[in-house]
Amino acid sequence: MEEGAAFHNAAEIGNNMNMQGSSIGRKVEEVNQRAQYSMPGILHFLETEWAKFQMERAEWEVERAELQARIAFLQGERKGQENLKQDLVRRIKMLEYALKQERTKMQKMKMANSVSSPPTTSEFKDDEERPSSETTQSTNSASWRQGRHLLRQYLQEIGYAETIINVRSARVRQMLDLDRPVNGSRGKMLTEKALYEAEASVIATMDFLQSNHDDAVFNPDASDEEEDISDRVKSRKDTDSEASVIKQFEEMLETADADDSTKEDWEVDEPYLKRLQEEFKKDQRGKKPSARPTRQSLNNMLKSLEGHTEEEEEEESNTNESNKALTGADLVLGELKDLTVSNICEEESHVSSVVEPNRKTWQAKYMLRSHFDAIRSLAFFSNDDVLVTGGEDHTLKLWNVQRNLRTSPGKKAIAAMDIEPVYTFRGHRSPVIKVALSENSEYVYSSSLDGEIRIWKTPLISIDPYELYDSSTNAHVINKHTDAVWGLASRDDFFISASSDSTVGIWKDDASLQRTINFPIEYGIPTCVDILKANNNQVLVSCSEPNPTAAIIYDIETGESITRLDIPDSKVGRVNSVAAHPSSSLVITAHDDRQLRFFDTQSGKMIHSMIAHLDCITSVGIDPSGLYCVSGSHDASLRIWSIETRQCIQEITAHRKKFDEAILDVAFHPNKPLIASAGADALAKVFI
Amino acid sequence: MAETEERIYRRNLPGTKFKDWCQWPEQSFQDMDSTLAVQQYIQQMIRRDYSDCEAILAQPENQDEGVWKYEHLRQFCMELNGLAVYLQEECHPEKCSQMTATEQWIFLCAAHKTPKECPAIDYTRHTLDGAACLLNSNKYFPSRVTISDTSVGKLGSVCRRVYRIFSHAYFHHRAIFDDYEEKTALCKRFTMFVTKYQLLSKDILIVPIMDLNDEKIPEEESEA
Repeated sequence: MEEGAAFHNAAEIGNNMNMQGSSIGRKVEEVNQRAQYSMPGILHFLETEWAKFQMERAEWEVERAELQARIAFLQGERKGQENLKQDLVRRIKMLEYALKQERTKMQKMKMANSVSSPPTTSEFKDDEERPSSETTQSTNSASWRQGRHLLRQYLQEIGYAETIINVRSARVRQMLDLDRPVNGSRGKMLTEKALYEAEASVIATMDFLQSNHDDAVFNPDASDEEEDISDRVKSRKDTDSEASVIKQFEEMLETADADDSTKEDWEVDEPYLKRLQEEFKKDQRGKKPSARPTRQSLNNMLKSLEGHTEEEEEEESNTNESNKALTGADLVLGELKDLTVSNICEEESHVSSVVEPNRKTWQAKYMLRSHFDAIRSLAFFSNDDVLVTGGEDHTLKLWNVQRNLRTSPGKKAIAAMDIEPVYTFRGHRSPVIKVALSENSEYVYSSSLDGEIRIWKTPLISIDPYELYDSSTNAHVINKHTDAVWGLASRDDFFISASSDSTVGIWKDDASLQRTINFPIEYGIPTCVDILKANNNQVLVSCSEPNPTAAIIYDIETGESITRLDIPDSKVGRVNSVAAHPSSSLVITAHDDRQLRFFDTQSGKMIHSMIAHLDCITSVGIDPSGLYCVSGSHDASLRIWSIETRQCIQEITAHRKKFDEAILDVAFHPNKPLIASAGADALAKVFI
Repeated sequence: MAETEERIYRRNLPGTKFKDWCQWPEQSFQDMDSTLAVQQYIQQMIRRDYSDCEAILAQPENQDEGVWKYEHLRQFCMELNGLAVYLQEECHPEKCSQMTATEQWIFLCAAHKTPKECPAIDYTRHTLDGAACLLNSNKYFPSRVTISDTSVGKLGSVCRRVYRIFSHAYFHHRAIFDDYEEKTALCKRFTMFVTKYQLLSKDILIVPIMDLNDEKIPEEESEA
């Protein structure tokens, strides 16, 4: 048999060899033949061979990647197992400890019993004592059983809390991992998977525990595990254990602190963790009726944290609003946190579900489509979700975002909702290049390329778009500037205009000229104006030739220049936009040379400069809290920056180019978490 | 040539003077890679010579006709805003309580749920607002690069309505009309546009100008 097989094998090998030999021979022949024929033949052969090799290599590569993924997965799994093991060991120790405690307790009880029967320490010594000792024994065993039962319950409780803590700690770790950029998305997925497995096994042990006890207190669903930690805490009734949970969590924070070797990472995570903690507390307090003040205090606490987030600011404004006496219309937004109204609730849920990415992300919510040509400028109303845009189609348009919030709750699934203007201002005879609003939003100011400034009475924001024409809307026209007016800013009942005819005008709402400032010709042309919020008697005018002065601060009353904001660099691009910080002496300028520059108005010194975009920056705005700024550029992107860290928080590609222009204006709402951008593609967008 | 072309930024930065607005070298249609190329091209042609309607309406090769018509109509509506601005000053509801051109028709404003007899100025405003909404509608015109045939079909009704603004201006506010026509040649271009693409039938085109040069000159002289 064996021989036969061996022979057979040998024959087969021989056969194979023959075949190989013949195939090699054929190949050689082929090559020879081809060599005789042509070079392309050889090249073709080599190419096919090479392609084959490449294919194989690619296959290996894929295999390798798969194996690596497998390794990563297994590592993740191991990690999960280790966690589980740790947890189990801890639990065993706990049980042991509890058992010891109980034993000593028993011992003591016995001791006490034996002490109550003074003559002997041993029960069996005295016959007379025996029955009594037996009764104590029986009572002992009864109490022991009872104690044991209690203990079991207690342990169950402990065990339950333990699993929760463990799962939570794993969760937190997972979240931390998510925040860390070093992990690839694949690794993330794997660890997550491992974590779920760990969770599942923990739940399994929990179920086991419960099955051992008749009076199961808590029956966790698998779906529960997916839910938020805060929900889990909420669902529990025992406040003591809740406190302990928080304590545990604080400890965890500390350990997490120790774990985190890189400081930068920690700086990012800290506010997030703290906020999680705050959420816990909030949930607890939420049970009490006095939710409002605690939220306020929460906000204060949050405020004091290093890394402020958008959500806070949102909450802040919301609480502020709800603290105010509200009109019916405001109520809808003011109670944003509590009421679930149409789209706002979506935003709410969005915020809470996006706890993981650490910050609120802005999303395009409304598309303002109605202009026929590039939108040059936009301005938000101070109190309503209303904005006005002005464009190269010579018109201004009024948009009521709030009305759309209320009237179309069913449309919230759409990525960005289209809205139509409620009013179109017609009057300019050349492209509108700047719009501004009076402080109380009673008047709209607009300026056009031909130097005309128009003052409009703001129509009712609830106006029907197809109302009859009311010529009184067109309140005043100023024709004193002889060239394009690029800068407009208002303060009380004044407004300031900056024109390419190198003058800066200060006007009253009734169009009467208060003062004209001649802009020094060596600084070029005034490009933009803003009022200093810290001292609203001062106005900031930016220069088109910022070498060396980027902007000049004027006193409105006297018309004298007070401070010059000088740039140390010799060659910088023109200033396209300026924004004054709402509370500090900071000023940000946006330049043609892709830079944002930060100035201190007190000293006139430049604090910081950075390349912020890939192309000319056209506009900059600061949010009402003063923590963020937004910049828009001809590179078609909108970027949101943290003023403190000067880091870009978010980039949004928002508009398309017309010629070489893309985004022409950006603005924050003066009171609400809204951003708007205006583009050369005739669209304006509102971000929430 | 291509390299130097790249360095030119076609922008109107803050501080640009009136005389410098859009004063950049022209760009050939082929070099326009933006999604708004057609609008850019049309505006560039208008800037070159607004009175040369034939050149403005000359459709570039390989240009989708629907988009070409759409962008022209956008441009017309935009420039009609300018005419509306002038009309606002003169065309009061007391005087022109109805939208009319000749005595033959009273036009009802289609912007309302049930068409209404709006005064002329409101008809003008509402029609332009309605056109702005329609032409910017994401439903009918989601893209400015390709337009579906059904949406192209909508252009005709917009043309018909906005044409009434011309006719009203011509028959009731002749001074404004002539003044504006001299500055923009808008009605001439519009008439040529709708004729070229057969968006309106000839009998609707009641403003007797520029339709045929021979016809127009004696008529204008007689009325002036």
